[in-house]
Amino acid sequence: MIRAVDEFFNLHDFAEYVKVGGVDYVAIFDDESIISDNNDVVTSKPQLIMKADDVEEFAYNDEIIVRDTVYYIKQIMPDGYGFATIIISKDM
Amino acid sequence: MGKRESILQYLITHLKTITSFSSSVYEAFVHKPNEQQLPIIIITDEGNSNVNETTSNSTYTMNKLKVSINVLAKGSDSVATVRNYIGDILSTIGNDVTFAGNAINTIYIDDEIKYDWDNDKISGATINIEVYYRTTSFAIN
Repeated sequence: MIRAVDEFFNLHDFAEYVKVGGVDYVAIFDDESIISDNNDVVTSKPQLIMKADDVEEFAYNDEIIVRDTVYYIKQIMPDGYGFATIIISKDM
Repeated sequence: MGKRESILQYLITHLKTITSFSSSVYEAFVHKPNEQQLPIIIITDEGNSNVNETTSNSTYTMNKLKVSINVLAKGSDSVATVRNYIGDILSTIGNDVTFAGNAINTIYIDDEIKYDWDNDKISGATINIEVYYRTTSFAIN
């Protein structure tokens, strides 16, 4: 059965595979440029939109591979509607 | 070149002797540094004031020049790195607190470390110093 939430993760649109613990998950990657809050440095804020069901077992500092780059999970924020925003960083 | 300018130029020149900053010490860095430019030092002339020295010769003024030194680094260990940079910077200043005879003394006031954790872990410290120097009145440049 295709759930409503699944329709947002179309690999022909914005979704792509990311890998956690050797398992592929679908996610939408966003890496917007920002100016850091405290140090005024131009950087970016990488994050993923994922299915909340998929991220239940994820934990702080778990390795996640996005576009062949290793990131670490820093924050998992379910929105209560079936999605979760995952904040990631290149530094552990 | 006046004493104020000489002090700041001396500071820039000598901070560049720290290995990590040989080509990354700036003043008046008007745009925001990009994370690819780190580590970096940005110094700022925070202003000069007369400290009201009473001397027998009123043609002289004792000045207090406030200078802030912002040092930024990135990476998982950037907090420790910045703490080390603070030590390196203060040690460099301490080697000659007169800035080649232009100042009477330099005082370390304080420092503050701030962190960001976005694409990378970015740590930065602002070190505040005060430089005391004497000039003839109205000859501060």
